[in-house]
Amino acid sequence: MSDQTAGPVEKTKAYYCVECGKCTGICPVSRGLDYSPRRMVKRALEEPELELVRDKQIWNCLTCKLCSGVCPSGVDYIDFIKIVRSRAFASGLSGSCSQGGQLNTLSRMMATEGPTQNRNFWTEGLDIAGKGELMYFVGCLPYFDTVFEDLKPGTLDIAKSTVKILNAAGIRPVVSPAERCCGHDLLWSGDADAYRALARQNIREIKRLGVRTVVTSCAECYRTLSQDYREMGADFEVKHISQLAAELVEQGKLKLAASDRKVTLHDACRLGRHSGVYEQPRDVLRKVASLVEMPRNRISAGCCGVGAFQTCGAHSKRIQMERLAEAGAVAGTLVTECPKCQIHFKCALKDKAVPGTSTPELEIIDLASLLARSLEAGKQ
Amino acid sequence: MKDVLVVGGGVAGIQAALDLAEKGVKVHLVEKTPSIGGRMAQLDKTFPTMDCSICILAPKMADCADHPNITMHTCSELTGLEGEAGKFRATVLKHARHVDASKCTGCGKCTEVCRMKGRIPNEFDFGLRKRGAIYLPFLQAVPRVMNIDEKKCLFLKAGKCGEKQLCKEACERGAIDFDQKDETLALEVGAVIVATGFDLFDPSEMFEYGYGRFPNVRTAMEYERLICASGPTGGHLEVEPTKEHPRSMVFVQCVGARDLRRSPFCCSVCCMYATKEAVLVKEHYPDTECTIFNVDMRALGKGFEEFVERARKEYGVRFVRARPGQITEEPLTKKLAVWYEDPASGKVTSMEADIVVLATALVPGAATAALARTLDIEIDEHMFFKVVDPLMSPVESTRPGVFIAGYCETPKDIPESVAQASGAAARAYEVLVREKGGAANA
Repeated sequence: MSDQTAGPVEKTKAYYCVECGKCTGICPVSRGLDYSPRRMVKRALEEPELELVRDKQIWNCLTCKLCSGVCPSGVDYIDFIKIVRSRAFASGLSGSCSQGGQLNTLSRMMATEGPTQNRNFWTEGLDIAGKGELMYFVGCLPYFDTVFEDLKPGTLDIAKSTVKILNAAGIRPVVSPAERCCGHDLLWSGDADAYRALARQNIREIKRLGVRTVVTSCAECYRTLSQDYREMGADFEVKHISQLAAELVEQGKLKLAASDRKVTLHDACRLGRHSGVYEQPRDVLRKVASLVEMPRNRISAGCCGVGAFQTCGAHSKRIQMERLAEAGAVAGTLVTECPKCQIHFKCALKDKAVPGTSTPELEIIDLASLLARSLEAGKQ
Repeated sequence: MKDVLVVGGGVAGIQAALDLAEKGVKVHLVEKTPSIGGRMAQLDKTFPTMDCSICILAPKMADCADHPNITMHTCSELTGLEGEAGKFRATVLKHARHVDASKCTGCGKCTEVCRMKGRIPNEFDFGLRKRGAIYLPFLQAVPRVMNIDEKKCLFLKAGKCGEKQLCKEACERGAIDFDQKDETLALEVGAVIVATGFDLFDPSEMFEYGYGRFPNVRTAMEYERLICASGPTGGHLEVEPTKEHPRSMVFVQCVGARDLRRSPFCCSVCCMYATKEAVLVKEHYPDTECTIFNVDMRALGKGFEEFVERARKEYGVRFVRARPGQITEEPLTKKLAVWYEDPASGKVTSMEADIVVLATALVPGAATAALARTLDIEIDEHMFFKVVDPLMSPVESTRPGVFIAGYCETPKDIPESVAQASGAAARAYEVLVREKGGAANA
């Protein structure tokens, strides 16, 4: 694998760095911690043995990709950090997973060939298929509802809503009980081997089912399947539910009930800056609500504060509260495209322990859940 | 002796035209806008001598207009070039001005009455001033002839302008001619000099700097107009929304330039003009803090290093080695914060600024590729016109008889553009002499 042979500097051409510090100047983490992407790259350039892997700072990056987009030398810092982390992990080092490692453990359990999961327990009353051309890749949604029970993240509702939307458009998606975690969090926390084990199994299963298009309701699954799986030989098409819904509405196959409810959209980094998907979620959102933009939107969108459950601290909380205040200033509802964003924001909203900040009155809901509700409103 | 065609009426084109005209050669000077002058006419001062830019250029512009050997074709573009060195046939499309140049005195009475007056952003001031559909591009425009914007003139667009055409009524000399048509000129020339200059990179795609969203973020060319006594604010810098003069100014260098994803080259003039612009701030408002963010200082012309040292020591201009990562705006006060990594501490710092000036990349014009096809000459990977040998033949294009001068060949400052223009004129003259000799021998 190229990650294992090419070092982070060579792979990302970080030797083009001119140490202008533009990355640090835009980095949301750098404003809370003594953290500098430029210094990380400089160390990698100067140290012969990549001593950098021992620096705890490598786990602070949110991989939100703001820096990569503005670097005049075209250095993709998040790719750099991904490789550094995989080197660190290979030397037995890891970040402090903010969920005590339980989510990573779940993913690693799935990386083995067994055990069989009871994955489809939630599909009762929904029209799903065992084989077919279009598959709904559910991801970790059923697990999140349990792990984050105290937050009532409503992640399983996202899965149900996605199938409801597809059913309403006359589509019976394949939902596979043999599906596994996409491996996103393991990939971004350095466990490249376990990620590849997951990817291999998923690609094999998707091919076995005869699937040509995979739909995800998670921005991270979307990025992983559409970009990272491609490097592993995947050739199926991947669509986020917002993209497919926008197409179905356009084709007249999906009818959504309009409302004047004022909402704002938080662009998930994996869907936005990582994949360039900005307009389709907005197109479909405008069909069901009145969309108001936050000052930082699309490519300049703020971050939900945590990446791959690596670190969460005061700086994450500050990033989240800033974003929530920005949303609260323009709308009463914040729509997310990624279940993780929703979990992190709901967590921040619940925790009122940040002195000097006020918590906005805000409902947070996933795009798929909102669309499914407007289906039901349309039926009445 | 054959005529010479000069394409582009900026300082390089003007210099080449005047050099040849002084040698007795007839020159056709083709300029696509309604006035010659180019970028130099838009600048306030020149570095490092702080001369008034238009004061240096205007007499040369007037010389072009007055010279018996120079024919100016404004609102015109080259559309074809057949033949070979010594005997080219050039086709020039002359767009209708709808004003008879032989009658118009440039008095401006028509502009006063135009129904579109003050409603169209003017090109010369980057929209900082508004014009009407009939207008003079700028105060010192040459030729001093009004121009009607076909796309904006109510009468030309819809055949109707209120009860009557007020401009036509206001013009005492009957110069306005709505029936004037585009003309195609066929010119026999011995050589061609291309001096089409540069365009400005639009920084609105760089979301991190907020240009287009934050009113106090300006481009350097806008700043040149704002600090200029004949500019839209009479040379007063105004901070939005208070209209007070700035207490702090930040200059950001290499915006879109030396950027591997945009223009990877150095524009070669921004270090010096930013220093000049900061000194101008200090001369206008001595107490205003001026900070220039750059990755390195490129002061390699005569007197440049001394000028930078003077800016630093005498005027107190600060230089910080960093590219700011982001500019944010306080929505109510419109006050800006410039976020950067302090090179000394390695920590992220924000600096307050009333106005931020972006030194945007100077890039080959959008029409360069099309013009290269018309001229049948090659361009390089950045869309600059190629010369056959940058070392020993720095003005010869890849087609014999076609010469290049100024920024359109590669980034350079005014004196270098002028020098190259004189070189191109001399080489063009050689072609004419050779051709004349050949014809005499035949």
